[in-house]
Amino acid sequence: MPELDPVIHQPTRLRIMAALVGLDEGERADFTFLRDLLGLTDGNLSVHLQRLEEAGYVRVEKTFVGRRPKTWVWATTEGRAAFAAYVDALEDILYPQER
Amino acid sequence: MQMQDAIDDLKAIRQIMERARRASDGFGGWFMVLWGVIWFIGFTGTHVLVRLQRQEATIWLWAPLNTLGVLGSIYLSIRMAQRARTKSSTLWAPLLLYWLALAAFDGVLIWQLRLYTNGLYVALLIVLTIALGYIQFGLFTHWSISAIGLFLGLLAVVLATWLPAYFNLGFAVLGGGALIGGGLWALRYGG
Repeated sequence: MPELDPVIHQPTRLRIMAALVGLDEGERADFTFLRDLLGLTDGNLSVHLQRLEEAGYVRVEKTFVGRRPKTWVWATTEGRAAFAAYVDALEDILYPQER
Repeated sequence: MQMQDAIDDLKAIRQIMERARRASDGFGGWFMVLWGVIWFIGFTGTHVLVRLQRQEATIWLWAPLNTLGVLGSIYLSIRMAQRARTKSSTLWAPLLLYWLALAAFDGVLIWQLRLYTNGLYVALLIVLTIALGYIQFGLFTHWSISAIGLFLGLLAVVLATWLPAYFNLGFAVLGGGALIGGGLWALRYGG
């Protein structure tokens, strides 16, 4: 049985990573865009983003657009690699003889 | 982890990645739908006015339609920039300037070459310029936008050469229809 990354394995974090990796490298997602896309609450998303940020898988940048606060989130290179490894591990479970 | 869990996870991953891509780039589709509807109304109205020999009234048709299109495009651009910061959403400001430069270029040509004496020439020039813009924009974003630009350009030349009396009606149905169809396709499949 291949090792699954416990940070990404948590269902909400897996969905967050999938959404961020779904964007091209160098692209960023607005916090509210991510929240609406995944149907999460602000608090829930914040908690999981913090965990992913601690693992170095995402970066969170808080800025202002005019007077309004804006939070940008994106997957780091390490995060993309970890996500790809997680998907590989899932495929190893499904097709062990092909690997 | 059980095999079924792995299948479910992979399925969920694929769905979310697809939704994220569509949601971030889907605004491009709305631009095309907006302008497709404007073209449909504008060219249909132009066809009717030309048939009624009221060509001079076309300006009162196109002026509000274009104003609506520009305001709608600005609204969509702002919405797009507020969400995912993607390739196309960061392009909106230079893109707006690019379209304004093309419009100014067309204006100078229409004025200097006195194209305003023939409504078909004016329509052909504007449509070909827009087709060129779509082809160029598609080179930097998604091939489907270039394909629509190419289709619009070819359609304009074919109608102007062989069916000039039906240029406006043809563009309303096929040109507007291509934009609306392309936009809906982009909204559904991304691009």
